[in-house]
Amino acid sequence: MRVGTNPIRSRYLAYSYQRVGVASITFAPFLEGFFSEAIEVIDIHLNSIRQSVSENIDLLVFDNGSCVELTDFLCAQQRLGLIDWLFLSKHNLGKAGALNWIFASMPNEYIVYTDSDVLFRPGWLEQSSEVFNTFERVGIVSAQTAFFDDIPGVAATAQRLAELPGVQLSEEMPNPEILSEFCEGVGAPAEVRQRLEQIPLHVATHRKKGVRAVAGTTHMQFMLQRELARRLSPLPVTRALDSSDDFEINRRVDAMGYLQLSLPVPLVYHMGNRLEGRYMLEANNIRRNAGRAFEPWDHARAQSRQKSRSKKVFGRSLQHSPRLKRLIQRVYAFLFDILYANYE
Amino acid sequence: MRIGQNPAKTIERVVQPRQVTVAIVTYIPFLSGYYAQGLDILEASLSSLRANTSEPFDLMVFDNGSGVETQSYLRDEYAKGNIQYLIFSGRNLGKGGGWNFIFGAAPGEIIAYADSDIFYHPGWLTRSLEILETYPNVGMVSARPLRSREQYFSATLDWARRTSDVELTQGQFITWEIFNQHSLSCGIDETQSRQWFNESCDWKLNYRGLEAYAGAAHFQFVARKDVLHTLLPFEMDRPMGQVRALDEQLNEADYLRLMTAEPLILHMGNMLFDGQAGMGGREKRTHRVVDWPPFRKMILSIYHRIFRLYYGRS
Repeated sequence: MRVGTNPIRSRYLAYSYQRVGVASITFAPFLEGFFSEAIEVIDIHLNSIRQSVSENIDLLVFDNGSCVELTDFLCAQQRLGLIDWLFLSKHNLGKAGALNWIFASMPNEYIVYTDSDVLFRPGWLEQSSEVFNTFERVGIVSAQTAFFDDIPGVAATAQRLAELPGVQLSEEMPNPEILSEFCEGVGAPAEVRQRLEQIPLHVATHRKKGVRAVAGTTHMQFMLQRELARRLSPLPVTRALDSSDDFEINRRVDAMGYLQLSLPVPLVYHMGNRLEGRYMLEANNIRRNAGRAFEPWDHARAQSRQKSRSKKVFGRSLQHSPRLKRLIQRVYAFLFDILYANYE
Repeated sequence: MRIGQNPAKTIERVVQPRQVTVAIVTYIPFLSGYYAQGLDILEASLSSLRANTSEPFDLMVFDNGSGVETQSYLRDEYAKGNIQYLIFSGRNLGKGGGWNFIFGAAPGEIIAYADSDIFYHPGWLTRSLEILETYPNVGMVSARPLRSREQYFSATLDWARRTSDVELTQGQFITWEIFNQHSLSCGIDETQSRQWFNESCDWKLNYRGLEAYAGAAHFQFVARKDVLHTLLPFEMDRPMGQVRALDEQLNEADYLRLMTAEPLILHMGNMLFDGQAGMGGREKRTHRVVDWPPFRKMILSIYHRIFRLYYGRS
């Protein structure tokens, strides 16, 4: 039976979503072999997202049936406030299956998808947003330069860009250093690297704003508007991880006449499954920042600033004093009993 | 860098969702005061769901910012395989926000939604699905007959009146015991409940030999996902109290809102006590000081302030 009134029925407002929601899919069925450093990689990945943005974001992690060690880790991060929404699926629904959930349910105006082994660099969100704000009918923007020319929609995007007023389209050979970093991250074999060196990029420059974007996108990280995400789902799900499922996104975006773009300078980096290589300096900085300066509730700080000083002091006191917390809980329960315990 | 190939690429088949997703929203911020028995009630709810549901289903729980005790319990249930999909939200998105998440993402074609304080009796899903599949254009089916305002099921009555093979009758079909059982679960005292019972009536429908009552409850219902998708997103800025939007929108869109003829679920509320199923009611104690309005108002104010300090932190 109900005794009393549910306290949240009165006065309190539900949480208002941020403009941008970032969704990451995790999967590590065990912590051996390929997945031996999964938790460390995911830890850097999540912290890099938080550390690289200058505005509040909502961060969703969709765990696609991982082992208990990883889900324990994710639950701990959620409790600490690093993750806003944690989605645990008992079974692996496939990447496309998880994307279907993400595209259908994320409430934010912009949705960013990322693999869980991507390192985010400062500026990725601002520059990706700028591409959305500069070019017309932008569907997807990836913060990793797209080097492959065989992804559906790349040629059509180049053609559409050429037709846009105020936009200059040029062909540029990929920067060797940027390409080398990309190939190292994804573990591309030498022959693939050689092939990519020969493929020119279609680079669009907005004459007035000077904003540049490359035709094409990647599957490891991309940003799109919620309305488009809703229209893209449901995606077909064939296997747990299948690039043909990813290509379906490109096909659909292209069929709807949207541009698929990426940043000319990569502001995300594919870490892969091993903590080694050129990005370790960045990764260590992220870890150091997480260990020293990063506070779990950092992202909520801006909101809490609006609260009164007394509330902040009270909140801190509760966090640091379990006795005080217990005492307040007892007072609370006692008052409740007086008010509502009318039944023996 | 990537070393080796991701073994996930070798997984040939992914699990296909069951036709029915039972979706539950939980919110138990701490285990005292109003929520003192919150975890016991949630446990009773999930146990009865498992014990009294014969159809296969996936269970999805959306936790709307509960405290660590509830989260731990849910994690244990997830680890045992009793929950297939578990979503933790760091903040309370409101019931509407929870609905937006679960209705948008539930994998089953049919969504059986319930608050976390519902007790399920045998046959609740079977009977609900029968109605859902027999009656046309059904928006939602609740597994208990209740009385609600006609304005929220006017489309159902209109359909019944203009459809020749529907038998529509008005009267007092719900017994006082069944009526009062739900009233008590909502904290309504017996005098008030008796008055409402005497002043209201039920609308019973019979279509193709299957009986149902007009109306439905937003705290528990079975609905088709594609129907719910037409209503998304729900714009509710408060954690509770704006859920009538679902009833209104379904009715305005001419969907039927129906209930089973038998009480197959029970709203438990926030307190369990011996003999809850019987709902005989207990004597109300009076206290001169506590019931003195200014004193009561003062305590209520302190009580709410303490809650707000807790809730406001997150």
